[in-house]
Amino acid sequence: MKKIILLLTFFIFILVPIQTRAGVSVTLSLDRQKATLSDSIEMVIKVSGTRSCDSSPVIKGLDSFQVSQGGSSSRVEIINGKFSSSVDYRYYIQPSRAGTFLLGPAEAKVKGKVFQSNISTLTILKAASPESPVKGPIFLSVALSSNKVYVEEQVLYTLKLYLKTSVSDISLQLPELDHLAFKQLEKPREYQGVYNGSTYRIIEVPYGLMALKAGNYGIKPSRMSMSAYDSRRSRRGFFDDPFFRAGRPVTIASQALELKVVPLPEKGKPEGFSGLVGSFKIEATLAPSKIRVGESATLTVHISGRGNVNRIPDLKMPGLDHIKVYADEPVFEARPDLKGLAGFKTMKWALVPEQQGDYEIPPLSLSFFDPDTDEYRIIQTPKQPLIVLPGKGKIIMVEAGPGKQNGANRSAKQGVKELGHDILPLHTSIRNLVARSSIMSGGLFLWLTLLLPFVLYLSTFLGLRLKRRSVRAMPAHRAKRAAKNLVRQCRQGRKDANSLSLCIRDYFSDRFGLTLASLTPDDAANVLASKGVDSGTAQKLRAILIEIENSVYTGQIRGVGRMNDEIPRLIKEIEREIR
Amino acid sequence: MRKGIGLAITILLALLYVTPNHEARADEWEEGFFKANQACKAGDFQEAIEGYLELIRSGHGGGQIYYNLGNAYFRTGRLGRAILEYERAQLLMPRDPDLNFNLSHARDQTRDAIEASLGFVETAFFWLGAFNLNELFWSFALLNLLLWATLIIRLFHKSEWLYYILLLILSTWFVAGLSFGLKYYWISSDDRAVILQKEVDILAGPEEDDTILFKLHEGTVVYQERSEDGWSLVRLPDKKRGWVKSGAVGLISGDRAVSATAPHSPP
Repeated sequence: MKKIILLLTFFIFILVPIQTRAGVSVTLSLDRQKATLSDSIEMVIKVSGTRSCDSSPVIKGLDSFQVSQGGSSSRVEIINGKFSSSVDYRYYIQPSRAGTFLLGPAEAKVKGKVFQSNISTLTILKAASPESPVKGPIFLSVALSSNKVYVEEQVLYTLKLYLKTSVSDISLQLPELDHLAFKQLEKPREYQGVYNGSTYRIIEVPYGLMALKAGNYGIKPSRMSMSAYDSRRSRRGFFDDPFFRAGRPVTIASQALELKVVPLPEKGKPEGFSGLVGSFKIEATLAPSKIRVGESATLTVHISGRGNVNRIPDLKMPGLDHIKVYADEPVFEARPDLKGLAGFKTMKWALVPEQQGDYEIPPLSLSFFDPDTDEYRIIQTPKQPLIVLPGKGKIIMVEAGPGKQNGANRSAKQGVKELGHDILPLHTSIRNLVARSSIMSGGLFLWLTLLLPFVLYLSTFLGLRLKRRSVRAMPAHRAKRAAKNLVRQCRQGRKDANSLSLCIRDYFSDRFGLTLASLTPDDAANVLASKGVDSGTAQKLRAILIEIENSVYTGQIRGVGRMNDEIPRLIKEIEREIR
Repeated sequence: MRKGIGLAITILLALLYVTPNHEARADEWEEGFFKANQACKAGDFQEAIEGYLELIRSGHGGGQIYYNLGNAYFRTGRLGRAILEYERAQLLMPRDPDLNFNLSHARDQTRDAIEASLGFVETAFFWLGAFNLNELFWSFALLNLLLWATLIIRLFHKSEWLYYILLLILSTWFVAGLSFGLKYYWISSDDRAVILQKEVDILAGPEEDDTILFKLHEGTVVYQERSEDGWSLVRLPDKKRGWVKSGAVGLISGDRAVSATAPHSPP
C-alpha cells in the first residue's frame, strides 16, 4: 500500500509538471448566455494543463460590467492512468447596461508564456417584468404603494429580497434622487412566501418615500450586495454552516420604478397653509373649566395624524380680554410604522383670568391637504366655556416652563409687571458738593499724606540708632574729656586735699572706664602701669596721692596748694604716655 | 514768648481772612446748585443745564452735578450727552443706585448693539469699578498709615502677634496700592467717548469725501485713539475703526471743563 502511495506522489509531483508543459489551454465560460440587468453572471476561466499561473488571467470586454472575484481552485485528476490538471478562476459579473457583449479573450501567463482563451457572447436584457417567471435563487423586488402622489405626500416603497439560498453580509444601496427622501419605517422582517410556485424566504424592508417637488421621477433600481452560498452543493453536516464556507459575492438589483408627483392645488388653499399633507385630527380640553380670579386653567390642544407630521404648526392663541395667556413649550413626537409616518403635537396654554365672569375660549383651527379626498380641510377645536368666580385674595403664579403645567393647584408670588420706563429723579443733597478731587492732578498734600508715615518711621528709626550709638560712645567720650576736666578743676581754684582726691578718682573712673569707690595710691600706680604708662610717672602720681592722703588724715587739707599745679602737669604727661 | 504770640495772631488773622470768603463761595455754589435743580424741576431744562455747567466750570465736580446734568440732557432728548454725563458721574459715584439705573435705562435706548468684553485685569480686579479714585486713595492712605505705625511699634516692641498683624497689613496695603495705581492709570488713560449726534458716519479717513465704513448712533460708547485736525479716530470693541468729526463724540474722562464749555449742538 505504501508503495502505491509513494508511486502516486511521485507521479503527482514529478510527472505532472512535465505533462502540463506539454499542453496548456485556456477556456472562458459563462453560466448563461442571456441575462438581465439585475442578474449576476458567473464567469469561469479554466487554465488546463497546469496547476498554477504566473498571475491572474487578464480578461477583455468587461468594460460594462462590475466584476467581483470568486476565488480560484486547482485540480489534479488521474483517470485511467492519464493525468490531467487545471486551475479555475471564478468571477461574478454584474452588467451596468443592456446590450450584447463579447467577453474575452482571457489571457493567462504560464511559465512566462501567454495563452489566450475563447471569446464568449453575453446578451443583457433590460430588467425583466415582475411577472416574468425567469427568476434565479436570489432576486430583489420593489414596489410603490401608489404611482401618483402629491408633493410631500407619503408613499410606501417596499423592498423584498427573495432567497432560496443562504446569504450573509447583506448591504443595500438605495437610489439617490434629488427632491426624493427615503425614511426607513421599521426594521426588516423575514417570512416565508411563494413566488411563481416556488417557496422563498422573503426579507421585507419598508421605506417611506416623500417627494419635495412636483415632477416625474424615474426611480433607479435599488441594489443589494451579499455573499451567497450554493445550496446545490452536498451537505457537509455541521460544516455546512456559512461560517465554514466561502460564499460567492452577489450583487442584485431591483427593477426601476416611475413616480409621478403632482403639486398641491391652488384652489381652496387656506390662508396661512403650513404645507401639512395627510390625515389629521384635533382635540382640545380645558381643565378646570371653573376657577377663581387669579387661578389658572390649562387649555390642551392635541393634533395627531399621519403624513408629513413635521409640518404640524404651532397654533397661536388669540388675545383674550381680561385673561392672561402663558404658552408652554409644545411637545412633538413622530412614530413611523408600516403604514408610514405618524405623529402628534401637544400644545398647552395656562389661562389666568383677571376678572370674574363667563368666558368662551375661541376655537383653534388647523388646515391640511387630504390626498384621499384631493381637497384642503380645516379642522378646529370646539369653543371652550370658562367660568371665573370672584377671587379669594390668593394669587396663583403661572409657571410657563416645560413640565410646569399644574399651576392651577399651586400658589406662589406673582411677578412684578413693569408699566412704564423713566429715569430716576435729581439729586438735591449738597453733602458731596465739593471741589473736584486733586488726586488726578497729584496735589502735594495727597503725596505728603502718603509720605508722612514713612517720614515718621524713618525719623524714629534714625533717632533710635543715634541714641544707641551715643550710649556706646559715652565711655570713650568721657575718657577723652577726663584729663581736660581734671586740669580745668585744678585751675579753677585752689582745691583742698579732699577735693583733689575726688578729682583724681573721677579722672581714673572716666579715663579708664572704672567704677571706683575709693582709689589707693598703689591701685592708681598699678592701673597706670597696666595702661602702658612709664613706671616713673606712675610712681610720681602714687607719691602725690600718698601726700594727699597724709594731708587728709593729718588734717592739713589746705596744705596741698602746690598740688594744684603739679597734678595737671603730671596728668598731661600720663596722657602723652598712654597715647 | 513774643514769637509765640506773633504766630498765634498771624494764624487767627489768616482764619478770619479765609473762612468767611470760603463760606461765601460755598453759599454761592449751593445756591447755584439749588437754582439749577429748581429749573430742572420746573421743566426749564436748558437753564438747568447752564446752571450745572457753570458749577462744573467753577471747579465743582461732584458726581451728583454730572448726574443731574445727565438727567437734564435726557429730558431734552439728548441721549448721547445724557450718557456722557452719566458715565462721568459714574467715575465719581460708581455705587449710586439711581445713577446706575438711569445709565442702564439710557443705554437701553441706544440703537447700536455693541458688546463690551472685560479683559483679564478688569476681571481679576473686579472691585475697581465699585470704588472711585478718592475712596481707593484714602483706603490706601489709611493702610499706609497703619503699616508704618505698626513698623514704628515694632521698633520698640517685637512680638509674634505683631509680626502676623504686620504681614496682614502689608498684604492688604499691597492690594490697595495696586488697586489705586490701576484705577489711577485707567482714569488717566481712559479713552472712552460717547457718540453725541443722532447718527454719524464713520469714515475711512479724516476727509469728508472718504468712504463711509459704517454708521453709529447717539449714545454708543467708542474708544478714541487719537484726534487730529478736528477729526477723531475711533475704535469699537470688535476692532472696527474709523474717523469721525471730533464734535460728534465726547470724551468721558477728558478735560471736563473744556468739554462742559464746548458749544452744544442741537440734537
